[in-house]
Amino acid sequence: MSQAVALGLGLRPAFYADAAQGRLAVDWFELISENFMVDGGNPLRVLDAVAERYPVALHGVSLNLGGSDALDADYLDRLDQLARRVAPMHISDHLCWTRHGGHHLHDLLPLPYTDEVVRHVAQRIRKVQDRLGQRILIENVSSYAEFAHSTMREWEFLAAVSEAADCHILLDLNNILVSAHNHGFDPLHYLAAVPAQRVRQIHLAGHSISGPLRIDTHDHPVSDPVWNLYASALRRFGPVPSMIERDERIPPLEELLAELDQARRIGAQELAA
Amino acid sequence: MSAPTLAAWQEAFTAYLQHGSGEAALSAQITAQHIAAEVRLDVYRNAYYTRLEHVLAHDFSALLAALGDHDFGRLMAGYLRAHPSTSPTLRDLGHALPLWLRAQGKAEHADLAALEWALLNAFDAADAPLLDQAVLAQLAPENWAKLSVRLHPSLTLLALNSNAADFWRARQAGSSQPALVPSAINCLVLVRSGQGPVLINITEIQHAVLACLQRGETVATVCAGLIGYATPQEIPQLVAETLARAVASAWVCAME
Repeated sequence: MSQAVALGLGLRPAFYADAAQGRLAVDWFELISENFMVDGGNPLRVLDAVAERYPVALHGVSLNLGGSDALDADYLDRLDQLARRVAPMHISDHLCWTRHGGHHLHDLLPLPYTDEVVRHVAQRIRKVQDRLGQRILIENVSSYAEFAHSTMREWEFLAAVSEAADCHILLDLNNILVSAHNHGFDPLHYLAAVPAQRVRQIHLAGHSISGPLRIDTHDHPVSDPVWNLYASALRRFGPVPSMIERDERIPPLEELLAELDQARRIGAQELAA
Repeated sequence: MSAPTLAAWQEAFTAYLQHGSGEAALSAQITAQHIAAEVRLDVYRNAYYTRLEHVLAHDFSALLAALGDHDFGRLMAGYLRAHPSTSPTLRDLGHALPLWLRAQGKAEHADLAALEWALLNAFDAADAPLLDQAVLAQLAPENWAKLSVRLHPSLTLLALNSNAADFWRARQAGSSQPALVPSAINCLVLVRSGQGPVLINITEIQHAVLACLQRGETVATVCAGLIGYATPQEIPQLVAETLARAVASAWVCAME
């Protein structure tokens, strides 16, 4: 008998109340770490209630793993406090840079793919893992620009960083498709190059189209090409915990649960095969 | 052309995002393929201001309603140039907006922004147990002078010189909002009560007393500071009444 995929949802304010009362039929929730780095009030009440009822993963956007500014010790302290509070199944952030010169840019910005940057990022990930006392997951980001001096492709960079840092991978399949379109590569080629044993979580999301580029807006339903890639991913990686990540234009909860049902059907089909 | 260091690349990219400078030099570092490098870079630059303005529109929705889309967008672009984010969380993005608006000569809008910033604080300030009302009654008279008071962390004192509070209340009630205009001083407490914030009018004297207490001053210092606002005979009574109201309204966490 095949193992079922644990299917989760990104926790958003629209369904805080339902999640806090344990009324949602999902296996786990992913929380945006920074949304809960507050001193008190309703956010922490929701956090505690959800973590009491569901497994949770912490997903950050400001760790700045690829930055040249020093790692933010205060941020790491707050992330560590949060992790101690909810004992997350995973802690993740993005393979990108987000801050420079003390200014947070609040975007997931692209890195040059070179050996030097592999070493730089891996060393920072190791410091984070030492501070948190656990391996973290790094997520591939959508990109619209690639550096002319890169000496490797994105999938090689992701594999090299994860190996050098000995960390895990959160694979965002929508981001692979967006970048594949924008930079002209085959998403299946990307999937085949990812070190399978390091993939611990999958994001499923939608995107929008702006002129010649696809944009990672996370404000649309999961597209058919992402579902197709998900089937391939499950065949390659096995029953990796997967979730629907919707950040904008949050639809009625029923629509997100229907997407989870679709993920469940694909999981049952691919893992039984 | 040699590759820039990671730090140099990020410095140039940051300047481009924030100020639009150096696009040609950056474009030369980008692989264009079938889509021009400038088009690729524009995605990041457009997203930077759009995302941050969206956050400010969410956190300062009454200000947006008062200014309208065009003026709000123009002012927020100026604010973001003057105060780029220095916090890992977007929750802090608008921290300097009230002061910045005041410096732009938008005093009434600054009042409204200050009120909305206080709302944000009321939402997620630290939790703290409230003082039992019996403690005030049990206080020995000889201990009053050296007493210091800790107000609830979610409490913000506002002294507005406009009808910004009326504007905000009308918007909350779904009524038509008045034009923002200057007014006589309007003192308020904004504090979390249960799950949500409440906005309560207080007198100017009460505002002065609570502001001193919030700074950690003792009752004796507060009384000294009120000379000129009231007669020496009235001051102890005014302070005692303010304290009693604060304790009864669940604004006080501790008296030490």
